[in-house]
Amino acid sequence: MSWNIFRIFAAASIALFLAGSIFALTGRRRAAAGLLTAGTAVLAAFICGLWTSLGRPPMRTMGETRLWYSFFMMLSALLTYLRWGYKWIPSFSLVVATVFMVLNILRPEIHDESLAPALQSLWFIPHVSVYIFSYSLLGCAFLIGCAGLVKKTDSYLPSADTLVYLGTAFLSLGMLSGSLWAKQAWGTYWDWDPKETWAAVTWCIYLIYIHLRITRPKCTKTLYTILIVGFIGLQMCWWGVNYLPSAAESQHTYSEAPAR
Amino acid sequence: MKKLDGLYLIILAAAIVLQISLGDIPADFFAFPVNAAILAALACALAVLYREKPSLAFARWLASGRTSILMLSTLALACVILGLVTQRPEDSFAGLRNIKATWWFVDILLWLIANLIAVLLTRKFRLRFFLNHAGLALALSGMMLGSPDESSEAVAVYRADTGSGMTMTSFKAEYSPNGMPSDYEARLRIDGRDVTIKVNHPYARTVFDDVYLVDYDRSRPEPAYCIVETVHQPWKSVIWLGIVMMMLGAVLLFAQGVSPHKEKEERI
Repeated sequence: MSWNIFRIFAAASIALFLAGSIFALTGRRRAAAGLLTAGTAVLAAFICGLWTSLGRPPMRTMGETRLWYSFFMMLSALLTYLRWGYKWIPSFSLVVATVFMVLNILRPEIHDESLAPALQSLWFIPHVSVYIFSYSLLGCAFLIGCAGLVKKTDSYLPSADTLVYLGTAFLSLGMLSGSLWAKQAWGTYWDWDPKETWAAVTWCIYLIYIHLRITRPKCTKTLYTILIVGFIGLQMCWWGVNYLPSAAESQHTYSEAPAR
Repeated sequence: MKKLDGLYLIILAAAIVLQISLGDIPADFFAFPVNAAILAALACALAVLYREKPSLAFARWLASGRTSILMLSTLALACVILGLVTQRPEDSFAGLRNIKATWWFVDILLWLIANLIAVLLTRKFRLRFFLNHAGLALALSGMMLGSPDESSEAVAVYRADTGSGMTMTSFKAEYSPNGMPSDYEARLRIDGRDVTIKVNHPYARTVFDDVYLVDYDRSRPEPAYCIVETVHQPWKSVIWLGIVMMMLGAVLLFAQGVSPHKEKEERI
């Protein structure tokens, strides 16, 4: 399994998920659930195959993190759909997942066979996958925020709350496990490295949502807007930071071994 | 409430002015025992405040969720600025080079720690709430107030002792096909003990000091030396405890989701 055949898996996955999304929109829940599951499973199969042939978890380059992002975007949309039945969630998530899969096809990145020594740690997989899972939950919260603002209703807030609480739990676990790992790898828990700084920004934004929802539960517009701002923070933290001048000295760039 | 928000922002502005006029906080200004004394004094003062005068406007302001939001927003904004600006030794505007030694950043975090202590003193005990808030207070205190006590020193360790108390007995490196090292480790003799260190596997020399393998002599197949960094961080257990408490708090956040009792309890 390699990136050469990714486009086949991507096309199959997107087609199945698209059919599922259409069934979801038309209210045919059982067919939708089956097709969405199949679409997610196809992408999962590619990840498993890639993992096996690489001989390491595919979690190191930007291309690989995009792959996981597409997968968890689909998985969390599927779970959210199964649990809460929001019929528009699969379509929105599909758009985001597709963008990342297409990026991977148009800009394939070459991967090394082995991980850099700094990444050879038991913390590596939990740190990255917990973060990506939180990204996809908070990505769904972002979609809910957009929908809530467009439809001018506060009825989406309870579902946004659940997603933010779960997403923040994973976001915190990702950040804190990263901090424990940093102590083990670099000798300091927190160094205000650009990636860490943007992680702190993002974390603060979701904490603001949680606290504002408790102190002023009715400021609907502000709450939805925070979900959107938080999502922008996630993007900055995840890849935007690589394009900032301040990232020149970051130890977190995926494309090369941390220089230290 | 609004007046106290204003006061908070005025103090922040004063800290920024202080930063621009005086520069960074002197290296040992908050060093032990001053940092520990400040923390203890803050906790005691707040404990007395909330026992004796909990209805004072300042006491209510400091313990309110609204104030937490103000302080989180300030911190987020400060981090955005920090995240956008290059941190290089030659850029020293407003202390963005070494944020931990910056008057305004210490001010923001001290207020946040005070806010955390205040909410811990005034809320009914709930495990998840306690773990998250006390954990953050501990981690922030250890990282921020503890940073003046931290130091690190990188030395080259040779096969003969050059005064560091460490010698290198052997070194092993493996390379991937593109020539980059894929794995390497050094066997060292430290304080009469044989230890192996590699990236991600430091050696705990004392309770406060850890020894890290940073780099090695890449000029020859049999390296003559390796670069070892000793990190002295006396507050590391405080930070560790705070982090672990927050991780447990995050697990509870995931397990419990939005708690139905939360709104009533936390609203002031």
